[in-house]
Amino acid sequence: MTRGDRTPGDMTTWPDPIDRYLADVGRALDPLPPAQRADVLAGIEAHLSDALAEGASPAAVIADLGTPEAIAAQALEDAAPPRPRYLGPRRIAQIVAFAFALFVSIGLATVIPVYTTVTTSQSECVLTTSPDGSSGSGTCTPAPAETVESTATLADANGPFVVAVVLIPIFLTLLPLVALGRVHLPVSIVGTVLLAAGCAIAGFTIGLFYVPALLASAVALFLPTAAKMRA
Amino acid sequence: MVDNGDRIATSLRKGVVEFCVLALLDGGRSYGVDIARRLTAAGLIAGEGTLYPLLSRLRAAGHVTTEWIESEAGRPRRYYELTASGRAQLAEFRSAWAALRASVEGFLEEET
Repeated sequence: MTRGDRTPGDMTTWPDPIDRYLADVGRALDPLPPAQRADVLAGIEAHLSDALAEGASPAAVIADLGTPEAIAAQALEDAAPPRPRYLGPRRIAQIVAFAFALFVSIGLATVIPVYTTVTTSQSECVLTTSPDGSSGSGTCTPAPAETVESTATLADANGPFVVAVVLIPIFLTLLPLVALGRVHLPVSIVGTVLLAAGCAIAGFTIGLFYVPALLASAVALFLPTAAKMRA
Repeated sequence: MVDNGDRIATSLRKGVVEFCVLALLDGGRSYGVDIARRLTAAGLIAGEGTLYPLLSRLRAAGHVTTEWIESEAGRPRRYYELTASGRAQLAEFRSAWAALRASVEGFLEEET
């Protein structure tokens, strides 16, 4: 935030009527979101200190500003009814990230064979029968080695514990979708960083599978939100 | 009871005051008391206090920024300054206003 948020230096001590007026305006503005309420009050306080510094009487300054009710009415009229949230580019990218993570996790846990075990069985001797019919000549020819390839999914191999692990990327990509308002951006950044960390740590096993989700989640941070686009 | 003429004027002003603020700031940054006085003198707002919710909204929308700047009087003032998005908003209003004014006047002239 800019320096414009705060009155520099110490709080002015107001003459009594001004103090009462400010308290009344503050009360009238109570229904507003805190940030907007603070901003409106900051504007009015700056107005008061400027007008008083120019030598106007407190009563005249208050009369010119108008009733707290009129100010609040204007503020509440401006506070448009909550507009339908439509999908901004960032939200779309975050939904894509979540979808990637969800599908990869489900896939890893249940379907995709991650482990391939190759078992080469060394077969036992095969007794060859000699051409003359006499058996048991004792020659032992090794039969061609049999290779058996068996695969296992993560869940097969590691049991239910793996379900907990694959839930993490789902959770990390879901968070930015449910954290709205002020916390949205910090949560989105933290989620992306943790996902990147997870990918790096698990890079050689399952980390790579989550790179698409990570990319979508990182790209989302640089896309505008629906609110930005409206402004 | 408010006079009918006043009621018409009030509802007409409603949509345009914020663009008058943008236009005013297009001429250079200004502070609250100054903006309030000019709007009141032009009859665009009734109470000076109603300017601040409006400025707060413009600020939240990114059309203006505020900054405390030392004034000639030697004390800091909270100045409002137009941003690029505010300027774009003003440009859009200018063309919308020109079109609206032309069509309204077209109707009014037909009637008389």
